[in-house]
Amino acid sequence: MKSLSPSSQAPVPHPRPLHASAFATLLSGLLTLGLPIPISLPAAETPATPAATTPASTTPAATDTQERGANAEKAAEAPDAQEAAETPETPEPTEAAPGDYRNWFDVTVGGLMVDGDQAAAQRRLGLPASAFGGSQRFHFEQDVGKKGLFKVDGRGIFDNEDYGLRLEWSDPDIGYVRGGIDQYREYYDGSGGWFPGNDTWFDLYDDNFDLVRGSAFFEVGLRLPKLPEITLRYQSDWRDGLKDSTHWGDTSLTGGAGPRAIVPAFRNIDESTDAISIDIRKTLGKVTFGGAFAYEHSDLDNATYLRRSPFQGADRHITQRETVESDLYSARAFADTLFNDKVRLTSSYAFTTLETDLGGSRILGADYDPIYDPVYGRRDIGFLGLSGGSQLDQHVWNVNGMWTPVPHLALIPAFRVENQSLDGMSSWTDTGAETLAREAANNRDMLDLSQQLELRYTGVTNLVLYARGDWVQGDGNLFEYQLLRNTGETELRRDSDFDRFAQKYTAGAHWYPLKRLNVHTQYYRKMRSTDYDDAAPGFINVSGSYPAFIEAQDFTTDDFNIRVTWRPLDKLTLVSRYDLQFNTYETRAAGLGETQGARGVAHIIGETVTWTPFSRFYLQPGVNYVLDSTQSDAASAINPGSPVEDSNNDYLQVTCTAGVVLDDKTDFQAQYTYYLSDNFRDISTYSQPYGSGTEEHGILASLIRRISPRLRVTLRYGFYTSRDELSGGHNDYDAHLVSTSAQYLF
Amino acid sequence: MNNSTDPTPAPPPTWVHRHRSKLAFLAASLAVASIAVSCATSGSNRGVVLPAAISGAEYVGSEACDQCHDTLTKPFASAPHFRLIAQGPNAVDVGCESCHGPGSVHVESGGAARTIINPDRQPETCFHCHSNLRGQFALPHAHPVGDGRLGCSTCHNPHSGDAFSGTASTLASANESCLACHQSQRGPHIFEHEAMREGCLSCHAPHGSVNPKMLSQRNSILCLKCHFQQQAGPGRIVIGAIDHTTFLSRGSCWSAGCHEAVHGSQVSSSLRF
Repeated sequence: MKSLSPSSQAPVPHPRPLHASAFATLLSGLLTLGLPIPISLPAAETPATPAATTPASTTPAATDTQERGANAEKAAEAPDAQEAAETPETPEPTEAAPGDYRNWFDVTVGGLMVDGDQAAAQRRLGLPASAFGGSQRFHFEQDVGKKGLFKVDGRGIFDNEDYGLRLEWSDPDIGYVRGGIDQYREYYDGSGGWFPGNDTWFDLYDDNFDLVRGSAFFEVGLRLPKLPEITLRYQSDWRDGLKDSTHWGDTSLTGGAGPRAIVPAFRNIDESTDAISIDIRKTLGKVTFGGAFAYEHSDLDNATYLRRSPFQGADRHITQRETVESDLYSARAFADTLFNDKVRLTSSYAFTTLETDLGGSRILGADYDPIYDPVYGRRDIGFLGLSGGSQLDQHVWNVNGMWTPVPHLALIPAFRVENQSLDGMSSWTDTGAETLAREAANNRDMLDLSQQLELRYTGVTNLVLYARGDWVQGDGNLFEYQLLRNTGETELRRDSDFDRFAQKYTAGAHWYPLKRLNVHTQYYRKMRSTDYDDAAPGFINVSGSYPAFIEAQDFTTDDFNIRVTWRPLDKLTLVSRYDLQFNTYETRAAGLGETQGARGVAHIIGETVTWTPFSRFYLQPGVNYVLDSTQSDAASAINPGSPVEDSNNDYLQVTCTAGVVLDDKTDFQAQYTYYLSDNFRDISTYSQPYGSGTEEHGILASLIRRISPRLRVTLRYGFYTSRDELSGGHNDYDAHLVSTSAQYLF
Repeated sequence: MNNSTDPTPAPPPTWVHRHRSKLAFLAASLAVASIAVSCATSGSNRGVVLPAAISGAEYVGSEACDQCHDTLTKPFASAPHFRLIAQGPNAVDVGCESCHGPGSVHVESGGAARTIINPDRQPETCFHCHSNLRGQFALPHAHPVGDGRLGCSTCHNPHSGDAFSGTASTLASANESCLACHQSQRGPHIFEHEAMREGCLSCHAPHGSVNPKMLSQRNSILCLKCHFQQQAGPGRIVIGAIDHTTFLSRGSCWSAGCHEAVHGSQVSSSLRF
């Protein structure tokens, strides 16, 4: 069966394992492919991990993967295999082998019970704090004609807006028709900040937010022999709901510490996009060429809701609404030539144009979504009647090659040119202390030249050496102005040329000194420099020196990482990883010397162990320990009295997964997760603290019983607890997850 | 005031010291569980199966994959993962099955469902080498990779070219990976934030962060990395010739109500809203 196209590899709608990402590993494994817990061990890195299935089981012995290719016979001589071979009778099949059944149906019922902050638990665990149920996944396929295949995949979980349906008919000699709809809900916690000075915390609304994200598509692909491949596709995407915001309002209820911005805010998202495209390609001899056209229409109607000084005299609500309608047209053409086994050349050109229409307002009132009241007493910055739009044109041309001049040496050069041209304007009426009509416009042109060269050398046994350079040179011009319509006064005028130069140099090696040991190491240095040259030194800005105050910036990153995979014993595999990274950020502002804005150091240490001490038991603990600090001369450590602290993102994350075969039909699986970030420091006397301080535990236990080779039932219990210092305990929770599911193969 | 007679203050307890009782309990539990499992399951012949080894499958080599999936295997030579393929006896079988698991059952069944590993649904396959990302995706603020909503290939193309979907090697294509879903950040804006041209990763850690919105830093350091310009006196921070000291005490630059339009603004040159 030939692959129809790259897009034919698109994933079908997935089952939605009932957990958050932290617990994703376990349940994904339970619910996909009918396999036990996925402690995936890619053979490239750990070619030594044995699958301990015995020949006596319904699934033949998986070979020792280290010596799998040449030593299949040895695998049969493995202790487990010998033990099984001595078994006098072959037991009844208890489990279907992969490929035995083509179709399946999962049914799940469960519930999440939360003690504590429900919004925080829902956001973290990705589940509603209620009962849920339905089908996590069903799959049905049926042969049609000699080569045709009809497939249906879907899922539906009630009370979670979690639905998916995908239908496809395909025939390798004709093409395919496929279509589907997919939708799921994301949860958000709309709480604000906590001021530890006097334990100030605002509960202004129900902060159990959620947002539904969905898409629907229909695609037809013609794959008729000797004719060009033609693909037509329509897709619609949407997002609709409420989510949290970190644009918090301010309060003075801080026990005399001064104003702090901790009042919660949220966003109302209503976005939709419709896109249609046609893609044509044809192969003639050694050349594959083609073209595509796409049109996309987007409609965004979003709002941000803030509140300032609640429960004080200056209490007011702010609603900022922004609407953007956009039309995007894109056309491209490409050619891919395989001259011979040693030389390949691809080239493409694309043109894209984007047009937008703007609308919006920022209105203050006694409640959210108010009607503008010109005599509303609590004046604040705001605006009305935003209108305008932009047009962005982009041309991209690239050429990529691959050349193997001599055996074991490959060169991969790439060249890319991009030109962007942007024009935009807007007008609005400011409603601050005075009502003033303003307009603004911009114009930006930029040209980027990107080059890349990679060399790979495989001439040394069991070793790959590679090096790569990336360079981007860019220059352009940015023009901005702002006009006060009432008087015609130019309030802002900026005319800046900018030059950018980005470089990245990478070198690395993949070394396989033993079948049981491989080492991968890499170093890269990345540098980006940008210079701004203001062509109108007498720029005007009523509010100070912005914009065009920054004249130059240099960012540098050095990163070294190493990964070692080692199998000291047949049933023990260790994967170790260490990553060291340095970052510096330097800036030069108008009339000032160069300043190092910040410097960062990160140590990322990871260790994963896979241990199968018995054929019926495995254990896979993993740990990630990160020390990540960004320090600045602006911070109080160097600048005493500064209201800014260095930023630390240290954390410890531990996962331990275990699986046990209890009998011929029953498995028990468990996972424990632990997370600790201990960066919170109470600096409330001079600023608002933000350092994360969270400790989490999670335990998930599953009992899997194979009623028959076709039917499997799973019982599952999970307990999750979180303690959050940053919210003063207001976002703490304990949660219990109980669910049961059945999978039927047919 | 410290009244201790010991002039040397005791060092702060290490993490291991503070949690030694928990660690001891965990180790003891594992030991007991191991013994119990050994005893309790001694009567069973069935063994656990360790993915990504499809039960009963053996390695057949990448050439077999090429028979049906040539649109994926042909451009693979340009992919960064192709670098893993070395010449020599210790690096045999490195190829498609490194990530997709042994393929014999898949081949023999003519590509039947449930016979091959799809790393897009089982990112553990990717995490095995990129183990640091397993930790990042498990952080409290992360993209939902691993629970079926997103896969690694949503943003990365493991089969060809640069590691980003798209055809180019510049940061602009990296931004496209983000803007495909986060359309309201696309703009264009009348007053742009230059950081957007540097890339979304200037401010966000896309795999996961300890901070909300997957921010690289939660406090004003995020902005001061690029915008800290002048120390006009003890504790005083001047940015753009304006003393920001009291503003910064209220909260971070974008949280405190001063620069909300961090992705760009249609009405404010200082990205106020």
